[in-house]
Amino acid sequence: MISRKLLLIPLGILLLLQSGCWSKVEVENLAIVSAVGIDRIETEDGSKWQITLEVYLPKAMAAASGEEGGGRGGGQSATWITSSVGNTLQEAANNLSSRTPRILFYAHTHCVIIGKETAQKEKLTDILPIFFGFKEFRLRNHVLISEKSAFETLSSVWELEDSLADEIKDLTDETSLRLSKAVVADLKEVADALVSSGRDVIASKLEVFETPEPVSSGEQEKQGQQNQEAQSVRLHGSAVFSGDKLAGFFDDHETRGYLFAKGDVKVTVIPLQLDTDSVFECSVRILRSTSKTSMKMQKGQPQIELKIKTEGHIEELCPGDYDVDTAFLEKIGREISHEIEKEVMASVEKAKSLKADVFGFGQSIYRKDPKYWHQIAENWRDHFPELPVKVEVETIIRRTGAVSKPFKSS
Amino acid sequence: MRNGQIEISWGQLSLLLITLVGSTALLFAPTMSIGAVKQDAWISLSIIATVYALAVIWITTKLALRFERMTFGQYTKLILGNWLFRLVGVLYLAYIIIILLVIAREFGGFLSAAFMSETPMVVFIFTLLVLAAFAAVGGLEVIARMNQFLLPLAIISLTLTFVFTLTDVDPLNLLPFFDHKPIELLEASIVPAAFRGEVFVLLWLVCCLKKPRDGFKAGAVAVIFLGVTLAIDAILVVGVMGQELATKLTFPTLVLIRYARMGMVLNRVEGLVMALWVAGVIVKSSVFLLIALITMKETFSWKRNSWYLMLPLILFLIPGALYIFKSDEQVVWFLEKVITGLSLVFQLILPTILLLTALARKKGVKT
Repeated sequence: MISRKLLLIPLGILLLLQSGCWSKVEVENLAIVSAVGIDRIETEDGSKWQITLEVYLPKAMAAASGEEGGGRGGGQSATWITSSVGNTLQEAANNLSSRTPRILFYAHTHCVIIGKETAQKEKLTDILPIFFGFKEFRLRNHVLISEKSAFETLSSVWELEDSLADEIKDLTDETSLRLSKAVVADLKEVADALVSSGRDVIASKLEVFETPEPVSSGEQEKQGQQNQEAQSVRLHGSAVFSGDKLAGFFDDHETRGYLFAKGDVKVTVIPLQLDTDSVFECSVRILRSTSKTSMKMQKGQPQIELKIKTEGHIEELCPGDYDVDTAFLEKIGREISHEIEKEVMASVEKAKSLKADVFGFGQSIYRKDPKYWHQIAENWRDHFPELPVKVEVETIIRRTGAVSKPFKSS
Repeated sequence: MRNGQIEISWGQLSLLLITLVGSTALLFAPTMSIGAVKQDAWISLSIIATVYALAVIWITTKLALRFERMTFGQYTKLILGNWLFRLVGVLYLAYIIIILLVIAREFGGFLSAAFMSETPMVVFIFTLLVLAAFAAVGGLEVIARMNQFLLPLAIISLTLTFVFTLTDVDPLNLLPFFDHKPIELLEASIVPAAFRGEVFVLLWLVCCLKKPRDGFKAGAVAVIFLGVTLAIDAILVVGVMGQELATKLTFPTLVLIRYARMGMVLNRVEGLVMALWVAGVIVKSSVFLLIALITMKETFSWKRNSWYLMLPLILFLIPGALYIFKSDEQVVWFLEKVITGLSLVFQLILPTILLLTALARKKGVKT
C-alpha cells in the first residue's frame, strides 16, 4: 500500500497548483485591445516603431449599455487610445505597459491598421511576424492600410457602433460583402501572399473622410467641439503591394474588377447606360459570380485566361421605349459582361503597372507548369507586366424584379 | 510482468496505439515534412511513413507471436540466452529513456512556447511524468481504459475543428502534385517515420492481448488510421495556410486549429483540443514508462514493488528532460539527426535480427 500513501504527495502538490501560480490572469486586470495600429515615426532619437492601441473601457461600456438610447455615458468615450514607441515592434508593444495599468489582452482584437507611409517605406516582412508571436492574437484579424497614419486613423471618430474597431469590423465582415468594392483580407491571407513567390499582397484600404452629414452622436459632439469637423472612416478600394512594400491603390472599380477576377464578388450593383433609340439607364444587381483562372503555354510563353460567370437581375428599370423580353435580357447581359470585362482589364493593367501580381497568376503558372515556373520565379515581377491576360465574361440576367414593364408618364 | 494477468482487447490496443503515436506525431511531424516538401508533405506523412510503420508492426508481431503468451524478456532470453538478453534489455531501456526525455521536453517546451510562457517548464514536466508514473504502475489495463474514454473525445473535437476549417481550404494550394523528387519525399518522411514507428511497443504489448494473434490487426488499424489523419492534417494545413506560409510555422497544426471558426459564433477552440492533447501525451508517456518498468524488472530480475524502480526513473527523467536540451532548436536537431537513426535500429533492425536469430536457432513456434 505504499503507492496509496505516495499518491498523497503529488495530490497535495497538485492542490497547491490549482490556483495557478504563474500564467494566471484575472479579468479585472485585463485591458482588452480592440484594434492595433502600426507606424514608423521620426523621433529625436531617430526613426522608431510606434504602436497605437484602441482599448475598451469596461466602465464606459457598461455605462453606455445601461443608459437609454446608447448615449455613451454622457459623451464619455467607450474606448481609450494609447500609443508607445520602441526600436522594434516587440519593444514598442512592451513599452505600452508603462502606460497601461492593466495587462494588454489581444484576444478580442479585430483589426490591424498600418499607416500608408509606413507601408510604403518599411517592409511588410518586418511588421507581420510580431502578430504570429502574440499568443492570444488571431490570424482572423483584418489588415487595413490607412491613408493617414494609423495613429491619426485610430484617433478619428466612428458613427454607429461602440468603438472604431467594432465599426471597422462590421464594415469588413458585413457591409463590404454587399458592396464588393473593397478587398477584405485577414492576417493569414496577407502573410500567405507575402511569402508566396507567385502572388502579391492585397489588403483593405481605410479612408478617413469628412462626413457630409451633420454631427449626430454624443461622441462626435464631444470631438466636434475640438475639431469643428466630423471625421469618420470608410472602406474604399484596396491597397496593393509589390513584394513587401506598398506599391499603390486600386480605386473602387479596379477593386471590383479584382474581386470579379477572383470570383469573390458577392453582391454588387452595376449601372448601365444603354444606347438604343433613347438614352436610358438601368442598374443590374449581380448576385452570384464565379471565376476560373487557367494558364496555357503558347509558343513557350504563358498566357492567362480568366473565365468569369455572373448572374443577376435588373434592379431598376428606367423609362424607355422597349419590351422586356428574352432578347432584351440577353442584350443587357452582354452589356454587363462588357462592363465587367473593362473593370477586370483595368485592374489587371493597374496591377501590371505597379508590378504587383495580386491575382496570383504566378501561382497559376507554377501549378500548371512547375518546370517553367522555376526558371522565371526569381524575376517574376519583371515578367508579369508582359503576361498576356484574356478575360471572358458571361452574364445571365435572370429576371427584372418587381417591375416588369418600364414606367411611362402619359 | 504479471504474465497472463493483464488482458486487453485488440480494439483497446489499437486505440492505445493511436494515442501513443498521434499525440506527438500530429503536432510535431507535419512541421518537418511540410517544411521540406510543402504541398507534397501528405505523401511523405501518410504513404511513405505508413509503409514503414506497417513493416515495423509486421516484424514485431511476427517475432512476438512466435512466442505467444511470452513476455519480451522471456522470449529474448529464449532466443539469445541468459546474458545477451540482458544486453538487449538494457539497450531498449536506454532507447525508451531517450524517447521519454524527448517527449517530456517537447511537451514542456510546447506548453511554454505556445500557451503559458511564464510558467517554468519543470511544472509541466513534473506533472506529466508523475501522473504518467501512477498510470504506469497501475498497469496496462488502467492505461487502456483511461485512453478508451479520452481518445473518442479527442477524435470528436479534432474532427469538428477540422470540419470547420474546410471553408478556408483552397484545394489549388495542393497543386502541382509531385513537384519534388522522390528522394526529397523520402527524406521528408524520415522524421515522421520515426514517430510512426513507435508502434514497435507491440513487442511488449502483444502478449497482453486476449487473443495475441490479433496483434497485427490492432497495429495495422492504428497505423492506417494515423496515416489518414496525418494526411488530412497536412492537406488542411497547406490548403488553409498556403504552401509557403505553412513552411514557416513552428506548429502548423496548432495554427490551423486556432484559425478554425465555426460560423461567426464559435472561435478559438484550441483550448479544448489542447486539453485533450495534454491527456494524450500523458497516456503516451505512461505506456513508455510501463515498458521501461517491465524491461527493468525482467532485465534485472526484480521481484519487489514497482515503485522502487519507478521512483528513481522519474527522478532521473525530470532533471534530465530539463537540462539535457538547452533550447527547443536543439530538440529539433536531436529529433532529426539522432532519434531517426536510433529509431530505425530499435524499431526495425533489432527486431529483425531477433526474428532471424529465432528462425536460425529454431526457437518458438512457426506462425
